[in-house]
Amino acid sequence: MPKQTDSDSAIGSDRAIDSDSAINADSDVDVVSHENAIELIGVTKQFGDRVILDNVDLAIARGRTTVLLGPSGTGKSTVLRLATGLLAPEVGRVVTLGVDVFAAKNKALLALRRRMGMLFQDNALFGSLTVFDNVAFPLRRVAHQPETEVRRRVAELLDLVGLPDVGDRTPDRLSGGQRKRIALARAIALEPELVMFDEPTSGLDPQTSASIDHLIRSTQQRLGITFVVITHDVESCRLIADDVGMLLNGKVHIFGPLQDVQASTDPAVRAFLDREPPHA
Amino acid sequence: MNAALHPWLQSASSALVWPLRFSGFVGRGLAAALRGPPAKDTVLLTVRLLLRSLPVVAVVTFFSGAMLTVQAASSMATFGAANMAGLIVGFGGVREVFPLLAGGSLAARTGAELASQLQAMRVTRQVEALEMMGLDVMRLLVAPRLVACIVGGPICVVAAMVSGLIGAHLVGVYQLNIDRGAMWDALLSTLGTVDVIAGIVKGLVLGLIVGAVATFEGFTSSESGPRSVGRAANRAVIRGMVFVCAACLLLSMLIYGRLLAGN
Repeated sequence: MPKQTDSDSAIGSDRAIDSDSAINADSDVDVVSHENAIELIGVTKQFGDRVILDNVDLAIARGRTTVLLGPSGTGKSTVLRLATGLLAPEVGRVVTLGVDVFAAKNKALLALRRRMGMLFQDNALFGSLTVFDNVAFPLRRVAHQPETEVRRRVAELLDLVGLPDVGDRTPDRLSGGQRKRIALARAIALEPELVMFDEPTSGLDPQTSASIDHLIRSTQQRLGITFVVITHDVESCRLIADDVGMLLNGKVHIFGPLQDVQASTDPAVRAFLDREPPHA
Repeated sequence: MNAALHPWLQSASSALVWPLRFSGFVGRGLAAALRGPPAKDTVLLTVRLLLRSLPVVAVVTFFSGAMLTVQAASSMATFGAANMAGLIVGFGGVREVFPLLAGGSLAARTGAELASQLQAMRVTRQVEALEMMGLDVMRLLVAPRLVACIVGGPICVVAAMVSGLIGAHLVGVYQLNIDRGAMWDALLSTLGTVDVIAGIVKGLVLGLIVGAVATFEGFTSSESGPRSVGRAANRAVIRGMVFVCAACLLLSMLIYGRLLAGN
C-alpha cells in the first residue's frame, strides 16, 4: 500500500505544521482510497449494552454535501466522531480522507484532523477570546501564519460568513445564528478538505436556520470541498444536500442522491420526511 | 442479584482503577510539559496563579502564625518562658503548618479554578474543537497548568513562611508583649538552611500535586452538563487537600525523620 507523504498530511502545501507535532511521512499511515471522503466498513459501535451502529457500511463521496438524517439517538453524531477518531468502533474500519483512522498513530491522527474542520452543535467557540481571535486561532496555533496574513485571512472569512464587523466582540455578545457563522468561519479557516456539521440549525429560528442553510450551500459551492451534515431538520436537508443517508435502528436505512431519497416510497423514509408522528 | 451488585462493583473497580488512571495522566502531562508548553500561556497562567493564590496564602498563614504564637506563648507561660514562643513558631509553623496551609490554599483557590476551567471547556466541546484542529491538547492545556503550579508552589510556600512569621511577630511583640529579640532568637535557633530548602522542595511537590489533581479532575471527567463543572472543582479541592496533607507528612518524615536518625 502506498504511504502517505508529508505533503499529503499537511493542511496546505504552503503551510507550516507545528514543529512539535509535525508529521514526517509516518510509516503507520495507510492510504486506502481517495475516492471517498469517509468510509465506514463493517462498523459496530455500542455504548454499554446499547448498540448504536450495527455492522454499518457507508461511503461518503468527496466534493459533495452529504446529509445524514435520522431520529435522535440513531448514531448520526457517532458517525462523525468515528470519522475523526474521537471515538473508536468495537468492530470494523473507518477510513477518512484515505487514512485508516484506527490504524494511524497519534501524530498521524493529529495530521488527519488538520485536514478536517468541524462545526459543533453548540459551536465550541472559545468564550474568553474575541471573534477575531477565535477565527484566528487555527491560523496562529496550527498553521503558524504571520500576523499580517492572519489578519487578511480572518477579514476574508468574516466577510464570507457575512459578519465583517463583529471581530472585536466576544461570542457571548452574538446571537445564535451569528455564533454558527463564526464557528463555520473557524472551521474552514485552514481550508480543510472535509467539513463536518453537527446539527448546524439546532435551536435556531426558521429564518436564521434558512440563512445558515444558504450559507452552508454557498460555501460548499464556492470551496468545492466535502461537507457532511448531521441533522434531523428535513427542510435543511432539502436545501443543502447532494446525497442523503438515513440512519435507523443502527443501520443505514437508505443512502443516495437527494432526489432518489425524496422519491422513496419506503414507509420509514416517508414517515420521517413527511414528519409523521411515530405510532404508539 | 447482578443488578444489585453492579453499581457496587462499578464503584469498587473505578476506585481501584483511579490511581492507575491518575498516574498515567500525570506521566502524560509531565511528558507534555517536557515537550515545551506554549510559553505565553504558561507565563500568563503562572502570573494569574500567583495573583489569585498569594493573597489567600498570605492571609491564611498570617492568621495561623498569629494563632500559633498565642497558643505557644500561653503554653510556654506556664513554665515562665513565654519569650520562647518563637521556638514553636519555628518548629511547627515554618516547617509544617505554613507549607501545609500554602498547599491547602493553592488547592482551594487554584485547584478549583483549573478543574472548573478544563471541565467547562470539556462540557462546551472546546477541548474537542482543539483536538479537531489537530492540536496536542495535553501540551496545550494540561502542561501549562502543571508548570504554573510547579513554579507557583514554592513561591506560595515561601510567601506563606514570610506571612506567617509577620503574623507571629505582630501578635507576639505588639499584642503579647514578648521581647522582640528573645522571640526572634528562639525562632531562628530552630531554623537552618535545610528548612528553607525543605520548604522549597515541599512547594514543588505540593504545586505538582495540586496541578496534577486539578487538571486530572477537570480534563478526564466523562460527566456532562453544567453541574459537572462544580463537581470537578469540588473533587479537585477535596482530593488536592488530602494529597497535600499526605505529601506534607511524607516529606517531613523523609526530611526530618532522616535528620533525626542521623543525630
